[in-house]
Amino acid sequence: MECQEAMEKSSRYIDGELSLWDCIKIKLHLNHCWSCNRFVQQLPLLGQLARRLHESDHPTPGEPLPPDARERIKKILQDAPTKEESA
Amino acid sequence: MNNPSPPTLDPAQWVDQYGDYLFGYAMLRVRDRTVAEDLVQDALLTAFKARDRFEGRSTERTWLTGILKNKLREHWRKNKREITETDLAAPGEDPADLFDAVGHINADHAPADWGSDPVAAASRTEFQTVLAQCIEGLPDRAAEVFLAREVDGASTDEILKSTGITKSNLWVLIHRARKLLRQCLETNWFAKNNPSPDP
Repeated sequence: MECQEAMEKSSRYIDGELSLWDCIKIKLHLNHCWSCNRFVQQLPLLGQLARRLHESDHPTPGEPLPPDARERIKKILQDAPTKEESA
Repeated sequence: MNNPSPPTLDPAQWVDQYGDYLFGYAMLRVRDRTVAEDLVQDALLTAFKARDRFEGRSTERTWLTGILKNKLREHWRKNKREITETDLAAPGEDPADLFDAVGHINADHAPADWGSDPVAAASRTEFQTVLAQCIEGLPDRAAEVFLAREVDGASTDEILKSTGITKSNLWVLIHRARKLLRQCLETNWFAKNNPSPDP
């Protein structure tokens, strides 16, 4: 297996979706290829980083809920019938 | 022994406290302001009507996010789209000389060193901005499955069911998202903030 095939199969490798034979081939390749080894080690970090972003206060910094939508949703919630009213 | 206090919610504060978070969460997934606003509105109204069912097992924000996730699933089920060739790959996305003639990676394009603790960067606001921009820059369908799997914890079967795509296309999309996100972070953050010599 060469780098091109190893990288193409790397996502399925880290997620346990490769056949045993492909797993063995990719492991043999990673044993002697530091570039692919680094690539495969970095892939799972992307999910961790994205999860950490979502645990922060705002997953899209700099793009708040627009003011008109903010006011509209507040009004809808204020006008929604309370439990007592809807009973 | 006293019974624990019943969990309390404060719907009057939801928009101010969680509006930006929920809007950002939706925007990263649907890439359309109007749709994202409608999803947040729909989720908060549903939450308001279901507030008696909040058991306090999670935070208020986690509970609201869970309701928004359901709204997103409904949205995708109603708006299923066929996968196109451009969803799976785009010309020029990878450098033409990424690999040599026999499939070895060209040394100029080898992955850079991200340092000993790249996840530590995640708490820095500057990094969060770069990461959000990199996710926003991902192709729509690739971002959709990447976030569903990596952030929302959806199983392969759940994603296949809600999106209607095939399993082989799912893996192409997930790998495309990871590859592009990795490259974007490397170019826009790690190469600038963590330059180090390669072996």
